[in-house]
Parts: sequence; structure tokens; C-alpha cells
Amino acid sequence: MTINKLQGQSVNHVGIDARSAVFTHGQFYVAISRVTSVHNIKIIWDDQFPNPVTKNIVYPEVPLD
Amino acid sequence: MKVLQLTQNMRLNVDDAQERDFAQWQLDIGHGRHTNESDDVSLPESFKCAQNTVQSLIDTIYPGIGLLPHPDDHYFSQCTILSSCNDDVDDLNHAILKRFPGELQVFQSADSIEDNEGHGEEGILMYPVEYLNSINCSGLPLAKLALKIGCPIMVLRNINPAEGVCNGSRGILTHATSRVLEVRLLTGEHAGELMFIPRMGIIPNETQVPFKL
Repeated sequence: MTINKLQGQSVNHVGIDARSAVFTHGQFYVAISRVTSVHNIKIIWDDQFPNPVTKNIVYPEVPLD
Repeated sequence: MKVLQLTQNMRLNVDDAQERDFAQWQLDIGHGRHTNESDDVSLPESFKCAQNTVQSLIDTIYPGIGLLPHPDDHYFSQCTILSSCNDDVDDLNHAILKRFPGELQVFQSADSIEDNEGHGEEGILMYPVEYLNSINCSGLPLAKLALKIGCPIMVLRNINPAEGVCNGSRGILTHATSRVLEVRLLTGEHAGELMFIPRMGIIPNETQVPFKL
């Protein structure tokens, strides 16, 4: 499902298809923070990069507190 | 009314140092750290699948998806693959469904245009059904809904919020006919209950497209 659909829920096992990068503020945070344990998150990424890498879009001007 | 303050990050309070580091890393990501000039962020090696392929990701997240009997409800409510685009989700759904056991059932939508918008006969010629079927955008259902008995589904309309059938509810398909789907809910207070989802008409009200899907 899309990242936006899962916002607000938690699951034990999350896979992230990061072949298409996230496109809006905080979206990658939502994706990685849905999982309950660091051992249960897996990712696939754009294979033009040898190591796992993706975009993280955060606009610093959006108030954080 | 009482205002409650959330002051503690519970994830930072766990004993396991690895989990704590991960929670801190998540927070940092949320604040835009670990990101280079082109907004790229490098991810830990431990996030890698066996191979950097869709099939490998499916194997990792949904082990044994091609086997019978079907996994239990807990499995489907606790495993998910996330993507940022609807198109990628469609591809993934297709790839997973292909490996899922059972007979594929395809439900074709009945797309048409509004009478008063299409200028009668001419309108029907201007907007052939094949064209209407090909329209695939956020908020509109797919022209062809492919399902197998036992596969997980998600409701995209608020059909009956009081009974737990609303936008985002997930369920398992237990029975399918051409006009009604029977679904066992996976999430929320009504998890485990059987619900019926009828075929329904959807007419966009804000856009300029005069379509009935």
C-alpha cells in the first residue's frame, strides 16, 4: 500500500519500495517509523546506486516543535 | 475536555541499544538530518534484502506467500510493503497476487460518461469505454480489479464506518460474486467479523471529467 495509507498505524514487518523516491515532507519518516523493530524493516532502492540510498524530503522552514 | 501532553518518546526508553539507536535515527530523519545536498540519505546495510529486486522484497516480507493453507489474519495485518506511488503499488500488488495460490478473478468496472456532458451519440464516440478504462488516477478505482480468495484487500470508501468498513480498513476476501464481495475484517474493533462490500457507482463531483466509474 502507499506510505500515506499506513500513516498512523504500526506493523511488525515493513518492506519499503524506494525505487521511486518519496516526494513530500516527512514521507520517508512515516515509512521508516511504522515498523516496531529495527530487525523487521527491509528496503529495495534505485539500482543505479550500489548501496541503499533514497531521498528524504524535509523542509526546514516547517516548524518542528 | 482535558488536554493531555505527550512528553516522553517511548521508543527511546527501550533497553535494547540497537532499538534505541534506530528510534533516534528515525527522529533524526524526521528532522532532516543524515541528508546530503541532493536530499539523499544513506540507509543501514541491515535494511538490504538478499537481492535488490521486487521478488526478493516479497520473499522477505511475505515468506511462504505462495503456499497453502493461506497464512492467518495476523500475518496479513502485520506485514506490509510500502511505496510512495500508486503505480508502484499496483505493480507490487500484481506481482504478489501472481504468486498467491488460487484462481484469479477479474472484476471489470462499468465505466460510462454522464449523459448531459457527452452530447449524446457524439459523446459516446468521443469517450470510448477503452479510454475510460485506461484512466488511472488517485482517488479512482482501477478498471480491472484482480482478486483471489484469501487475498488481503483494502476498502477505499466510507461504506459503513460504524461497523468498521471505512477508507483504509483492511480485510481478507472470503467469497466473491460479480456484485458483492464478502470480506473478513483484519483491522480495528471489528476485526474478525464478516462484512459485505457491494459494487458501487462513483461519480467525481469536483473535477471536470464527466465520468461514471
